[in-house]
Formats: sequence, structure tokens, C-alpha cells
Amino acid sequence: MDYIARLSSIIAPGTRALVIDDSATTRRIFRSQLESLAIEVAEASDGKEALEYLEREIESTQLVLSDISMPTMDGFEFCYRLQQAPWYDGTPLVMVSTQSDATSVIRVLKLGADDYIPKPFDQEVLAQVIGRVMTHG
Amino acid sequence: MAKVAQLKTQSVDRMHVRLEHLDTLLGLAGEVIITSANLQELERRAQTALARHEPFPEECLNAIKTSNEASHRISQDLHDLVMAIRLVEIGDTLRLLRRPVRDLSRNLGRDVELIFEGSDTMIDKALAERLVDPLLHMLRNAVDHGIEPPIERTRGGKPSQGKIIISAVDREHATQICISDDGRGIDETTVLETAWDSNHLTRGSRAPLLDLLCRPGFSMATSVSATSGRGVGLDLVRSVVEEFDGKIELETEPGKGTTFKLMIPKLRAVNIVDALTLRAGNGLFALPIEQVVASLGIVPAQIQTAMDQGKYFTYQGQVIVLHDLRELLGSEPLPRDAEQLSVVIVQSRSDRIGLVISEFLGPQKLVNIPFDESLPHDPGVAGTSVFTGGRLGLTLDINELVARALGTNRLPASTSASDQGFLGIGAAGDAGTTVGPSDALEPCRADCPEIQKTVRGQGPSGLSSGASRFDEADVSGLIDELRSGLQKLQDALLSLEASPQETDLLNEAFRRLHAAKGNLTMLAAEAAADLAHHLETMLDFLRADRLEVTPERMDLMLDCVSYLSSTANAFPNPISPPPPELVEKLHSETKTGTKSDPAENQVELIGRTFELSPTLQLQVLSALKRGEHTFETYLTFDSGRQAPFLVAYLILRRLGLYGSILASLPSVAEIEKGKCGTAIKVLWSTPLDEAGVNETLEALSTHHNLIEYSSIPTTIFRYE
Repeated sequence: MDYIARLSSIIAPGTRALVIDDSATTRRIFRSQLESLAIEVAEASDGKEALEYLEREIESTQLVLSDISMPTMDGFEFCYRLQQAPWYDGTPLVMVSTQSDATSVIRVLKLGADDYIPKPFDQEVLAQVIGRVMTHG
Repeated sequence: MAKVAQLKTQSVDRMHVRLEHLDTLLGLAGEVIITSANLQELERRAQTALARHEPFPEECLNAIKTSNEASHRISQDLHDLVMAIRLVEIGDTLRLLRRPVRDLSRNLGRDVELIFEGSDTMIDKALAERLVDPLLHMLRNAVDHGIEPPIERTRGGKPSQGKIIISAVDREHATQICISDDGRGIDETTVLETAWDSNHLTRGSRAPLLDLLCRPGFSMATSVSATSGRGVGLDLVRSVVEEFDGKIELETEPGKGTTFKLMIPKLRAVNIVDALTLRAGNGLFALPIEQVVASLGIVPAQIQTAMDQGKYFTYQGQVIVLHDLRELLGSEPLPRDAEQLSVVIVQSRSDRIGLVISEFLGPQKLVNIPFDESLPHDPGVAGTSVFTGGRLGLTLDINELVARALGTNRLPASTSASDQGFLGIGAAGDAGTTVGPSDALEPCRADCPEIQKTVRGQGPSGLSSGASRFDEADVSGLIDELRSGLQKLQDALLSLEASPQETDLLNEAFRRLHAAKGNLTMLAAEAAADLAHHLETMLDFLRADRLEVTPERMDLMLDCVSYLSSTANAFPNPISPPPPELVEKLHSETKTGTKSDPAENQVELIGRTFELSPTLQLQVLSALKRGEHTFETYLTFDSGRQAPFLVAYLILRRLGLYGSILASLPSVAEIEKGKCGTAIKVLWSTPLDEAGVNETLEALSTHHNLIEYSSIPTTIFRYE
């Protein structure tokens, strides 16, 4: 199935994703892959920075992609705090990590993440998952 | 020595540039543009004045002066900036030494604390890379010969732990690096006796201590060991230091310790060569002036011919064989009609030859622009330079030309005349004459084996499938990150060994390792990523106090990190899988932490029935009373790159939006443990009818890649 082509019919112009990862290179890879899917990208390097950004910009953010292992505030805590935040409107949250053991994955899902992408990811799985989380309410 | 070689490969031809430097560079580029625009305007005004036969306007002259000053200042600033960009912190180099010193002290039973002072001192990158080996040699000496075993130290009234301090200090014109140990010092008498015994010095005579120690082949070790005693060491240190025009000093006091002081002058220029410029035929050439012995004109009468050596003449009592420069570069020799021959005597090590040329142009400071190594070029040519007047010339590699003249290096076989190569540029630029193919120098050889070797076959195509998803810049970014991450991981581990109670260090190591694992996975280095995964589990055990930090465990972890580093350094070339004993040891440390076999995750659905707890049975009854239906839905899916358990979990969660999940096979508990294949059976109740359920599943199928799905209404209560 061509997820990439199908995603283009789902993505509204001006859709913006917040990418949270402590590795600048990973963020750059995200950016190039997301931008080629016509998704704008904002970046944060840890959970704390992401929460600060989202509190201001939740209205203009349609998707959140987050690493799990990060300094300052990791992905687990970020998931938890985001769900607790009074301003959080249910914007889809996808975790992207090498931590692919069932315990970690189920843990983030139970903490409220909508989906999980194992690293390394390619554009196809990215398109598939984004399509999935952005069409289901 | 193997370790030395290993360290050497860690140097990379890339460096990080601070943003502020780029900003400055941008600013300077702007100034260059402005200056050049000003000069253009001045030229226009001067031309107008000339056309009108007016005198050269004085304000123009002043403006030229200003522009000239500006361009002088800009060049100076640019030069300073580039020098500053080339600087790196010496600490990055010093860090590489921690592991070898730690291993060596452990092997030799020494207790050594390695202290760095002035780690933030900035040194040129080229020096930083070349310093690793000498410093390592000096540290080896210090640990092996300097620091005494703990018992001996205690007996001598010293603390049992020895200290080695490497300090770097920035002086005005030089960087001073000191390596001090508080060991037994060097006893001059013993050194002298050893030198006499080993015939490095005539018995009874004396020589400065440092000179003796630096003699090639001189060794104080009584037996050859893995660490020292091969007689190489200080001579290498001295040669590297001298390569950078530096000095080495020694202070030692028996019983107190030894200090080696390296004074290395700061580099003043990048690639700027003091050159002798000359013409040979239509080509312009430059020779590094330090290799020029003399330039002179000789008359044919001075030239003699020898059977085996060709033409030669005598210069200061020494026979100098003459070689035509153009001929050495594989082109037609110069016509020999001149009454006087222009000859430049050049020297490579102890060999001298005379190069016959057309004309001397004079000494000049040139910026050598080296050739791209991946392009074919004559190794006798080091690069190109812009000569006075904007003409392009070639900088020659004298060592190569002398070797070629002496017959040790052969000129690449001649090529077809049409393959002119870029050497024509230098010739064509001269007086505007066009040089025909027959007149062109032709060192470019595509079929020359030496040249082909330098063409690197690297690129995205050489990467394995996983990494080819990213472009080359991403890949090199990942590798850079990986390398520095692994170095920091090693640092954290080494520090952890010294203070095992520091949980911060453990966390730092864990985080670094985790990031490295991510990079390795992205680079599709599976074996290494897998090793990293197991190492991560081991660190997790340490973090959870299920394991203790012991020297053996530290060896194991550091060896793993070394393996990971070698993978990073070899990339994109494949590397052999980790040594089995390493993997085995790691596994035995983390027995319970290993990943379960994916095959075990397949949970057989056939023959299994749903188990309903009394609470669930109650829930079903209530649902039926509400007029809902119960379905047994069977789904198979393609989980793609995601884990089957994850997709199964997401499908269940999704179905839960349309009804209540009563039970599943595998059970939710099993799925949460990762025990799930690509098929699930779900028992659920929903207000939807059969058509509605099918619609829902169809909508679901696109996003979850369902392969097949079927639902049958079911009554879960049977009359028995």
C-alpha cells in the first residue's frame, strides 16, 4: 500500500509536527522526511522544552513525535505530563525510539501515546503511522 | 603498537566549526565583496580619466590606498580566523589516552591517577592528531618505568597511588605540554651504563641524558615487553615534536619523578609556502624554498656525461645529476639551444639533483591549493597556486621528483596526447599562448594503479540498506555523533571505575550508550547495535544494583565500547562481528535480560478458547440487555516495521472505541509482554450490527494493514 501517496490527501496545508529528540542529526532526518511529506516541523531537544513549546503552540501543532531516552525529561515523563496538562487537546502523540522492548512500548502506550515507531524508521512507516493517528480522532 | 594504530584511525578529516566563527567568516566575505566593488568603481573612474586625457584623480589614489589597506586587513583577519577555526581543545586528544593508561596500569599492577590540566587549551587540529602517539609513548614510559608498584611506593614513603599529570599551557608563541610523574625518576648513571653496554655511546664518554634517551633503538627496558623495551619511543616523540619545529626538555630527579616538557610553536600559516617560482617551457612552477639548495646558470662546458648517469656537473665538489624538469613530469624536454642552462639544485633528504628549467621568476609566498585526492593527478605535483599577476602555476613535490629522478619512483606510463589534463592551464595562462596537446605536460593518468587507489569507492551505494535511507550528510552526521558519543561513554565508564558510587556517571553512560545504539541501528550496523543492546542491559543491571562494578566487568564494558568504536570508525566498510567470547561474557552477565526469541512470540491461537472472568461474564450479560451484539473477530495483519504486539495492541485499542473488548487471543497480558504474532482473535461486544462491524474493520484495515478479517456473531453462553 502506498502510504506516502495516501498521506498527501490527509495532510492539510500548514500541518505542523513537533519533533522531540536530543540528537540533532535525528531531528534533521525527521525534518527532511516530514518536510517531504508536506509537514512543517518544529523541534525540541527534550521533554521539558517540548512541554514549554506545546503550552504556547498546541493550537498550531497537529502532531507530536517524541524520542523516549532524553536528558532532562525523558519520553515517559513527557507522555505523562502531556496527558496531565490542562491545555492538552489530544493532539496525536507518536513515540519514536530504539527502546523497542514490549515493556517500554506498552508503557508509553499506557501513558497515553497513540502509536510507536521503532528506530530506525523510514518514510513509509512514518507515513503509515502519521496517516493512522491523524485520521482516527 | 596495535593500540597506537587503532588510535590513529580515530582521527577524522572533519571538524566542528563554532557558529560565531562562521558568522565572522560571513562578515569578512561581505567586506571582500564591498572592497571588490570599490575597486571596480575606481577602475571605472580611472578609465574615464584616461579616456579624457585627464590626470589621474588624486582622490582615486587615496581610495586605492584605503582599499589596499582594507584588503590587507581582511586577508589578515581571514588568515587569523582560519587558524582559529583549525583549533581544537587538547582535551579531546588527551581523552584518547585514558583507556590505554588504565589498561596498562592494570596489567602492570600499578595504581595510577591520570590528571589533565588545561584541557581547554586550544591547539591546531593537525598537531592534535599527531600528538596522540608521542603522548602515549611518554605515558607508557611513565607507567612502566616511572611509577613504582604500590608496595614499593608505600615503602618509600609515597602515597600508594601514583600520579601522572599532563598539563597544557598556552604561551604567546607556543603551546607547552608537560607530562610529569611522581615515580622513581631517571638515574643518569644507569642510563650511561646502559648506553655504554649497548654501544650507543663510547665507554667512558658522556652525552646529555635526553639525547641518549632519544637515540633510535635505545632502550632502558631489560626485556622486551608488550608495553616497552622495543627501543622505539622517545626518538619517535622527538621526531614528531621536531616536525612541528618544537623542542623537548627533560627534568628528572631520582626518587621524585620525571617531567617531559614539549614546547611546540603555534602554526603561523596554513598552506602558505615560501617558494621559488620558475618557468619551464610554457608552464609555471613553484618549489618549496627550503628544498632549494641553489639556483644557478651553467654553461655547456661545465656539463659532463657519464654512461650510467647521464649528464651531470659538479657543484661544491658534489656531483649533481641534471634532469630536465619537463621530462621528469612526463613531457617533451626543453630545447637545448641556450648558451647557458638555468639549473636549480633541489634536495630531498640527503639526495640532490639539478633541475633544468627555462627561467627563474623569483621567490614568492604562495598559497598551495592541494589537489582533490580522488582525482587522478601526477604525484610529483603537490597542488596549484596563484602566481603574481593572477596566473596559475603548479607546486611541485620535490621528494617525489627526486625519487623519480633517482629511479626509485617511476613516472606513470605516458598517455595519449589528446588527454591533456589540467596542466595545460598553467601553460596557457602564460602570455596568453595556447598550448597544443603535444606541448602539454601530461601527468594525469586514469589507468595508473597508484592513482586508482586514491579514488575512494565510498558513497551511499556502499552503505547497507538500512543506512541508504538517508543521504550522505545524514550518515556522516550520525557517524560523527556516534564517535563522539562513544568517546564520552568511555569517559563516563572510566570515571565510573574511579567512583563507582556516582549514579550520575552511570546514568550518563547509559544515556550515551542508548544514543549510540540508536545511531548504530540507524546505520544498520546490526551486530554492533545488538551488542550495544546487551551492554545497555548490563548497565541497567548495574543501575538497579543487580550487578556491582568490578575491574573485570569494566574490562568487559570497555572492550565492548572499543568494538563499537571500531565499527564506527570502519563505517561504511563492514566489520567482523563482535568476538564470540565478548558476546558470551555479556550474555552471562545479563542472563535474564536477553531478548526473547521472536519465534517464541508466535502464540498458537488454534485450540485455545477465550477465558471469561465472572466480571466479564456480567459485562456481556449487561451488553446483551442493552441490545448489543457479541462478535468473535479474527484478524491477520502485516505489522511492517513495527512489532506485531504493538499493532495488535493498537488494533484492540481502536476496536475498543466501537465497543467493549471482552477478551482476546493472545490475551492482553500476553500481548503486553510482547507475546503475539500477526494474528489475533477478539471477543467483543458492540452496538454495531454485522454490516457495521465489517465497515469498521474495513476502515481499520487501511491503517493497520489488515490482511484478512472476519467476524461471526457469537453467543458466549451455551446451554450445557
